[in-house]
Amino acid sequence: MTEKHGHYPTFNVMDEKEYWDSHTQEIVGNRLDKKLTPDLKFFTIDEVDTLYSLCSILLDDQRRPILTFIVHHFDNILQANIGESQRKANVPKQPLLIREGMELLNQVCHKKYNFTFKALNKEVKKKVVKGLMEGVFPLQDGKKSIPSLDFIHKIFYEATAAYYSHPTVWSEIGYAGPAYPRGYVRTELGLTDPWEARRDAE
Amino acid sequence: MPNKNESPRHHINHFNDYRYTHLNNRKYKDDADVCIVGAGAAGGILAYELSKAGLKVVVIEAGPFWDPESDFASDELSMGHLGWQETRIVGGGHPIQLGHNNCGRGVGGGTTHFTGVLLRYFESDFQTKTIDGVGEDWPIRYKDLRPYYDKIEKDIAVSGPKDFPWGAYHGPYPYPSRDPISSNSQMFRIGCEKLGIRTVVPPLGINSAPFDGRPPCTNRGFCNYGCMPNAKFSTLVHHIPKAIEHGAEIISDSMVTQVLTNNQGLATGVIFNYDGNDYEQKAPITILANFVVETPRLLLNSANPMFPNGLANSSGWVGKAIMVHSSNDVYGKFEDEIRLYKGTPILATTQEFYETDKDRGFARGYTLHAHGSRPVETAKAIAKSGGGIWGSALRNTMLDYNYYGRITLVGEVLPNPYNSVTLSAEKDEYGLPIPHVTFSYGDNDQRLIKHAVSKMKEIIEAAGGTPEFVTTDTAHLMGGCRMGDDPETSVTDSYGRTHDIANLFICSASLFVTSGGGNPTNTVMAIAARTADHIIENYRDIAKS
Repeated sequence: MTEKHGHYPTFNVMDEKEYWDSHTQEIVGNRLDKKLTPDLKFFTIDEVDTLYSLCSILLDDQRRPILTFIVHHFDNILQANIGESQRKANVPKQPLLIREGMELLNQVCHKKYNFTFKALNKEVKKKVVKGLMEGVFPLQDGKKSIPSLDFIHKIFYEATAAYYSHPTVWSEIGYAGPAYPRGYVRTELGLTDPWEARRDAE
Repeated sequence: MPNKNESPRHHINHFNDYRYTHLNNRKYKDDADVCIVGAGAAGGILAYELSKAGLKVVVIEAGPFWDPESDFASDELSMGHLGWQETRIVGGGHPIQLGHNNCGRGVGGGTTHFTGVLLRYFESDFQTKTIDGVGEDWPIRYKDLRPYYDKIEKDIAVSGPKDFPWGAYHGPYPYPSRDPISSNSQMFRIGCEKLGIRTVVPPLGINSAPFDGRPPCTNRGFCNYGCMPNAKFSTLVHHIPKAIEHGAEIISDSMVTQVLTNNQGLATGVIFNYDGNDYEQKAPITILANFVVETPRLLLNSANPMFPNGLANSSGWVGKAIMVHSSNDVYGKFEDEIRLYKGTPILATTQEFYETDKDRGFARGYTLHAHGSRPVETAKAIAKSGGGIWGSALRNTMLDYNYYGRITLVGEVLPNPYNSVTLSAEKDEYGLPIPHVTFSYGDNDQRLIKHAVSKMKEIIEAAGGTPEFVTTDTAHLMGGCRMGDDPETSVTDSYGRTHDIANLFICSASLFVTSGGGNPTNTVMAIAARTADHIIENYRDIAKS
């Protein structure tokens, strides 16, 4: 956890779920109780550990239930054949980019630090991720290489999308979220509907 | 592609009172008058107008026939499938983000996830070469589209101001402006007012009062992820159901893979694929309304010995001069809560900077919108804005999510033939080459962006905020099969009729000659209504051709 805290410590967006349509209730509710096994289709357990480590550093959050949902999100998009909207010509398809990227990350770290990425301590992990994000940590080992910036961006942006889709995180940032069928009535500056997160609850 | 249709409950063949999960009872298998590829903004209008005129219309749509109540959800992550997610290869100096950003999939196309902004283009948009010495002139003028803008706005009860200050049309709009507006839009108007910049609540295809059995907007804020109450217009909830009432047949979940031509060089219909099997749809007139990437791709993939460079491509202009709008966002932090998630995303707009002002050092101009944003969109935008915002920096920033406001640019991008859709070496599941989309901004585009970003920052500061993040986004796609009078430098005439194949039409933003500096959907729909009128008036001649 970071030192900074949210503005809405008592707000829980899930308290309002009975006011949401059933489809939204189902989708959002399912994010809360994700278990790791046996339903992962794409990742091996080894890969899951590496992905946990990467996401926890990129998002600055160690909470397993949230990270488990994120892993499931990756597993879903990587095993489905729905396409990735766009891909640069020199970048491998996303299942390969992520799988080989994580493998190379562990190999390169092992050569450099004597530990695989997932086994490094938090400070060294942060240093490695910083290098990846700045494009100065090449994922290359012998003849094998993966474009490191594309790799870390793919992980970062997808992890971010999943993280900010988790209702626990919605509650922390004060996002009142789904509002069908009731809608928002008080939309102007300074106004809140009674069921939204309020600072005066602090 | 059954695995893409998340829900097996979807019907795929729809007409009159019939809905089928198979293709054994097709209504117009052999006697359609018109085959339309794509059920988006243009395809929906065409289906409605042509079927209303008594023509036998078949629409073939690659994605599902959505049911908003059960297929849509109040959730950003799960609604990404309203975008066209199939992979395209992107390149150039500024590779475009595709998918949900600008391409629709399923009945309704992009209208299921557009913001509902229905601006008109200005008179000068159609003559940028003559007036400003940049771009190209269109083969039509504003006055050619004016009756169709009027018609579309009336047909779907566009809400908007009584007095609109810019361009050729000054209101009133059929339905009153949306009221109240969101806090982010208030912020924008406060900042603009301090700087002497005029603003309006923009014309929107979003009900400000009940219309046609659909309720007024509830300010849920999910316009870009599928409207659940049906308060926002889409061709899914408006034109397509009416087209079905008028006799049209809609075939969904079916990908058109080839346009067929005969030995006279005329189009005879299309081949489409459903669930791994190929089917043929014959028609005396074929209209490609499958948008900026898929139309050139289909024309190029339909090459045959008579048309070795692709259909309708004797000019070589198929796939050339695609355009986006520059759509950089500026996020500013405020002392008080804004709550970007509440209300219709765009409820305040200025077009004060729309046309060329020589003092600014670039040609043409832009529109600015106050633009709401939910957590995923906000966090991803900030993550992509550079400057090392990840880990605790991102997390701490997002803890203040409710304190951010946002302004978005819709900036004109000049046409450049090197910005293109071509075929890549990679194949899709049908064995067809997938598209390669190349895009780079030009110097004029970049100078415009710089000016607009600086203006957006000024507005946020004038409203009492601190600009913190600038994101380099794009919006909308246009061009790639431009219309024109000269068959050597354009693909179609002003009605979208291809110069090379007399009974093959293109109808979508593909036809745009320049991008304009405002949201394009109203112009797409006006062009579609004009093309529909042309086909209805000349049906026999075109079909006989």
